[in-house]
Amino acid sequence: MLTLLMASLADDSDKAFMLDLYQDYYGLVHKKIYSITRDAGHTEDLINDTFLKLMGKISLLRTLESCKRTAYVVYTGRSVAINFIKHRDVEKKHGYYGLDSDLADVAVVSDPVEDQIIRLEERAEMGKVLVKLPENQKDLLYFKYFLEMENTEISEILGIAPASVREYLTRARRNAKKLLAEEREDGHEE
Amino acid sequence: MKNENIRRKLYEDYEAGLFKLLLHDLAEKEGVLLLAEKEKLNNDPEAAPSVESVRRFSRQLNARINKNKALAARQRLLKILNRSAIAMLAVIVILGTTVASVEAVKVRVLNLWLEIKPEYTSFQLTDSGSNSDREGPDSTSPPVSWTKAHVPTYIPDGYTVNRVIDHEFYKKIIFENEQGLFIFYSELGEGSNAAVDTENADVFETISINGHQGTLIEKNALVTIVWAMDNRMFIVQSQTSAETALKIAEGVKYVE
Repeated sequence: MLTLLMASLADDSDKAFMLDLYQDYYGLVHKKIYSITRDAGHTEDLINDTFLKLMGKISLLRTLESCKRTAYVVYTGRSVAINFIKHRDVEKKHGYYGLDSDLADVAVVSDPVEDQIIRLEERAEMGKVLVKLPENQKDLLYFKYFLEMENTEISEILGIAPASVREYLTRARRNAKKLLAEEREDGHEE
Repeated sequence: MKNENIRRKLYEDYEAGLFKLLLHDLAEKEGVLLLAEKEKLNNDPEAAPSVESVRRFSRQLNARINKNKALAARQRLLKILNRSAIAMLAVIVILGTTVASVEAVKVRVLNLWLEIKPEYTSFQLTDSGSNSDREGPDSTSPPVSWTKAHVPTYIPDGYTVNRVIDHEFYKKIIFENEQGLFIFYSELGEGSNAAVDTENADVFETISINGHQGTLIEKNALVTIVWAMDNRMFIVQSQTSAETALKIAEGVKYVE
């Protein structure tokens, strides 16, 4: 009986939390989703899908500080919007996101392992470089390392084979390192 | 090669950890800008959800919570059912082992069988064993010539041995008198079965033969006594009174 009562209270608390979150972030999520889909007819549904997806992350969201929570909500909204257009565009044979071509054209560099890693002291510089990554690669890194999605979930969102996610992630990281190297070269030239 | 693989794996883990750190830093920085953008939008009444939108989301939220609740309840039920199934299996195994190994329980099971099979009664002393293929020739030797065996020491006057069957697991002596009335004495070893017609029997009762539990059945003027003793099963069937049959049964002794 006590367990049922506790469960009921937890449900009420979760529902109140989610309704607050919905009303607080509605405007921002609406804007971000529409900027990707340009589809006013589906935006409302996609907003609801975003918050229903966030339901499974209530305990994490409660602990995140407001700026990180905002990023979490926005990137979850982006994943829902990207998933929508990916599946819509598969039908239309027209890719908005162009993940396959954008990521595939980055040459695979066969450097020794040690040369490929980012050293801890490069962290601050790398942070600046990540902002300059193409949206698709930044989203991919966000989904994997911030939202901590499984590869299968990412593959479903992006409409790619689950086995390819690992390769796309490798390419996104290499691209970030390449940008870092270019930044450094520019810095030396100046 | 193995070392190289270990190094590669460690670098991959290191890079994954570092990118997590980088993305958390980035989320914090971007989050500040996004937060400012959110506050600005929240001040714009047009960017707020309509009452109908909130209502619709609330309905969807309720449906999702109920679905999660139902799912959790189903999982709890499945867990309970799994535990019950394991407990039931354990009970069956324990009961099965007990029935197979404890003599007293066998007698109980035997008695239970007597109750649920009114048209006939099947007696079985043990679960295992085999039929002997050593069937000796019929003999007219009197049972008293047997040694190291059970023999009926009391037979009413006028009866003579008509037939003797002496198997390793099955012994039988048929007595007959001048009126053509018979007395059957049987001894069954492990693995033997005996079926007695008990349908609409006149008498069907539990008795004691020299302290051993047995069953007395009277039907159509035939008295049957079945009892177990010294890990063997004995049957006396006679066209006599129950008292006489009881006396024959009580007279069965082991002779050296």
